[in-house]
Amino acid sequence: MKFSFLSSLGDFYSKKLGLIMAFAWLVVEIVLRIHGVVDKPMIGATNIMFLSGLIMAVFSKEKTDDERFLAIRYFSFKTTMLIFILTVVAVYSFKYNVESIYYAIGTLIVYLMIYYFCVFFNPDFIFKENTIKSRKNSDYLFIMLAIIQVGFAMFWISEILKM
Amino acid sequence: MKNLIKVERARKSITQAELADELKVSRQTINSIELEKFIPSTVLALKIAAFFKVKIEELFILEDKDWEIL
Repeated sequence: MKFSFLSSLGDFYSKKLGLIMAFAWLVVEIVLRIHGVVDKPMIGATNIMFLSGLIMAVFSKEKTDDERFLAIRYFSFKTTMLIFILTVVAVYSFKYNVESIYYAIGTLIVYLMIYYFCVFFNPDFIFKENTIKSRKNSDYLFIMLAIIQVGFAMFWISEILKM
Repeated sequence: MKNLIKVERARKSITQAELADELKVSRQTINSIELEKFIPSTVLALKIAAFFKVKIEELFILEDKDWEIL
């Protein structure tokens, strides 16, 4: 199994498509809620589509991606992680939501495992993000996400037409 | 680390955007390097030096603070 998809990111087109789809699904959900649709599976599926759009937008490169964006991406992920942990701790403190603290603990444990794995084994795939030129595994992941997005959109349109 | 990219660019009469296009990086990256906000990788530094046909140590100059522990 190749691990390059873990260290490489999708192309710029998946960022654009992801942002468009995420925005579209957000609008769909707002419209649904305004019209009082409380069909939970439908709302849940819309949320998943929104999330997959965001994944496409976050894990993809810029049009002219270079090492400055690597530094920016590292800072953004680090800051996001810190905000996430602080939010979880706040939720835990004020609402005593035990599950939330497990998410934070689990996330940090996974981080430490990946970090020390890379420190000790020094795998070359983590240093190859900018050098992979051929079709990457991540591209297949994003193509799959895009197909799911489009497929679900078509299903949605057909459901609306039935009403 | 100081650099003389702006000087070399002026000598060649090219814009940041043109240099960025040649090096396949964004214009903001060239701007950040010129303003000494961002230190380029060895590969990019060598590419810039090769583009201007100068030695890398003539283009990028280490300062005393660069010897301090990061």
